[in-house]
Order: sequence, then C-alpha cells, then structure tokens
Amino acid sequence: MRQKDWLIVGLLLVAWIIFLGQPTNVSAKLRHFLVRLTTPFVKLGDLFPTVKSRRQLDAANDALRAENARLRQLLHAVEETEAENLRLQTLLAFKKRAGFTTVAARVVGRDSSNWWKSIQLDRGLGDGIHENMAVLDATGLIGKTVAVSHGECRVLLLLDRNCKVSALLQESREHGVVAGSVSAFQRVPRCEMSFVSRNVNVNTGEVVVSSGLGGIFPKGIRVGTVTSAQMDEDTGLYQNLAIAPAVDFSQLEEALIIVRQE
Amino acid sequence: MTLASSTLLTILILLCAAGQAALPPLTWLGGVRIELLPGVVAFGALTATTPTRAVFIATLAGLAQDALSAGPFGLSVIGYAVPAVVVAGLRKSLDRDLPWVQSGAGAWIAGVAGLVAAVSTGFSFEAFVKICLLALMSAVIAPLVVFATELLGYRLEAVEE
Repeated sequence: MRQKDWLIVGLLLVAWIIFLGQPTNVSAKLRHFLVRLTTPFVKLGDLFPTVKSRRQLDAANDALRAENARLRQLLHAVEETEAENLRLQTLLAFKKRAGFTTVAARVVGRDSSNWWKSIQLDRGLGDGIHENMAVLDATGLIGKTVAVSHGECRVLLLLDRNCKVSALLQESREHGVVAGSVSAFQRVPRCEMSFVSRNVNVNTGEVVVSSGLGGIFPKGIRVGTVTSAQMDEDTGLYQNLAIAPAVDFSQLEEALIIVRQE
Repeated sequence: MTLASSTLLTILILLCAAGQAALPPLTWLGGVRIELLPGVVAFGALTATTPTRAVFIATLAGLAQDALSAGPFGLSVIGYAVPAVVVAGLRKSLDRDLPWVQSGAGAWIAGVAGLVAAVSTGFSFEAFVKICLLALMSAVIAPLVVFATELLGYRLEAVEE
C-alpha cells in the first residue's frame, strides 16, 4: 500500500470518529436520507417474486371475477335491504303518529284483468282484516279492502271508478267525491273529484284529503292534489276536478291497513 | 283430449292467470298489461273436440282470472265462454294449423272478453282503443301458445267427421 492510500484510510477513520461524536439527530438525519434513497430499490426487488405463469394469472383472474360477481350480488341485496329499511322506517314513523291501529302488509300481486284496479296484500282474516277497511301508506290513501280470505286480501285502488271516497279540499273546505277516472286507458293514473260546488274557486295544486264521512276512510288522509278544474257539462251545477293521486301506485310495495280507528 | 292434456291445460291456465297478476303495466302502452289467458282460451277452443270442452276451458280461465281481480266474480267466464263456443262450433270449417286462424281466434276471444268487461266498467272511446290493443296482443299470443304447446307434444287434434 502506498503512502497516499494510507493517508486516505486515515482521513476516513478520523472522519468516522468525528461523525460518531456528533449528536444523535445528525446520524438520524443521515439514516433517514439513506432510507429514502434505498427504499425505491427495495420495492423494485419486491416485483420479482410476483412474476407468475399465465395459467396462474388466468386462474387468479377467474377467481377474482367470480368473487367480484358474488360481491356485486351481495351489494345489490344490501342496497335492496337498505331501500326496504328506509321505506319501512317511513311507514313505521307514519304508523306511530297516525291516530289509528294499523296492520302492515306487503303487496304480493296486482289485478289479473285490465279493467279493474286492485292489488293483493299478504294479510287476511287471521290478521283481523275485513272488507271495507281503509288502506294507506305514508304518502296517502291507497284504497279499501274488497275481498278477504285467509292469508290475503284484495284492495280496490283509489284509481278504480268503483272506489269512491268522500273528500275535502284542504283550503276551501269544499266537499266532493273522489273516484277513479272513467277513462279506462291512460298513461298517467288519475282520479276525478266530482260534486264540487260551482261557486268555489279551486286552485291548481290544492291538496285533497279524506273528509271522514262514510265511515271507511278516516278524516285527513291525503288523497292527492288538484291538477285541473272544469264545469260539469251535463248539469252545469258542479265542478269536476282532475286529481293527481298522492300515492305512486306503480311503486307500491308495502301498505298499512287500518283495522281500528281511534 | 286426454286426462294428461287436460291437466296440462289446467296448469297452463293457472300459471297464465298468476302471470297476468304479476306482470307490471306497460306505461308506454297507456298502462295496459299483457293478457295471456285469451290466447290460451283460443288454443283450448281450437283443440276442444266438443263445444262443452271449450266452455269448460273458458270457465276455468274466467274463474282463474276473476279470482285475482277486483271485478265481479264470474264475469270473465261469459267473456271467454261465448266466443270460445263460437270458435269450437266453427272448428270443422277452420284450418286450425294456419297461424292467422289462430291469431283471429285469439283476437276474437280477447275482443269479446274486453267488450263484456267494458259493459261492466263503462264503455268509452278509450275502452274501445283498449279492447283493440288487447285483441291485437292476443292475436300475437295465440299462435305462440299453439307453437309452445306443440313443442311440448300437444298437437291440434284431427277434426272428427
């Protein structure tokens, strides 16, 4: 070894001894700097063990796809349950604040004919259901029970012309009778309110509620809103109002049957 | 018509009635729902060897439909039985293998059934349009019912001379 080399080694040793004598934060900074510098290379080294054969990758891909499909189905089920939960919570809140005893029921079928408007619920005689009981949900009046057997009942919807409800205009307090529209063929379901006095000024958008007369439907249940008004052409004595029902009948899944009015 | 074929037809009628009650309304078609039973009754009337059998099939279909409806119980029996008897009566003069004959029978039965229902609910121009739509629907469904049942080995029986 030449003299020059000895000098370099000696200087390095002295530098190292000086470095060791420094406070710990200096060595810590150096350590952190070195760690930052070397980490990318360490991560690069991690790549090598993951290189697998095409067959292994395909198998893993298939397994992941299957798992993904299963999880998607699970997610849909959870979303469905969540939506149902929300609906039932709304219904329950309504049930608590309403002043009557109700039985909750699920919609299990519609009318098999195109000429009548009804739905089938999964509650029957065993649940205390009888004919002519009012059926509603959190948004408004649905109709009344017309045929009851064990484990199921049929509800005549407000949209049917045979379901007549004594109703009241909320602002003008004018009475009338709401029934399904005579028109048998319509894109948007609607009802008609007839026998409304010709002298009353009816505003579009006015809320219609049940009047409580007749004994089937309790007073104050929302029926719908007025969309238009025109004079009865036959007699000229009354106004006929077109009513947009409060309930979306195409989306009905649950309902409350009023078994006892307080 | 054998016992097995009668049983199959009965099951088909019950399934179609339940299907009609489960199918959602077609909003783009004015809220009209698909009716499967007129097509089945047309098939029954074309295959029945006697008008009595056609009446039996129509009665079963009518009762099955009315059981799942808010309409007067038994009204649909009239709407199905009367045109079914006519089809069964004309059986010998009809070439029942022709699809348009089957379509005609379906449309005829759906039309009369709709007319009977409209008399009960109130006849109007909209009701007339609805009857036409239902007749058109059954004109398509009836040959499909014949085709499907032929696939299952249920052949249109030969006319008895």
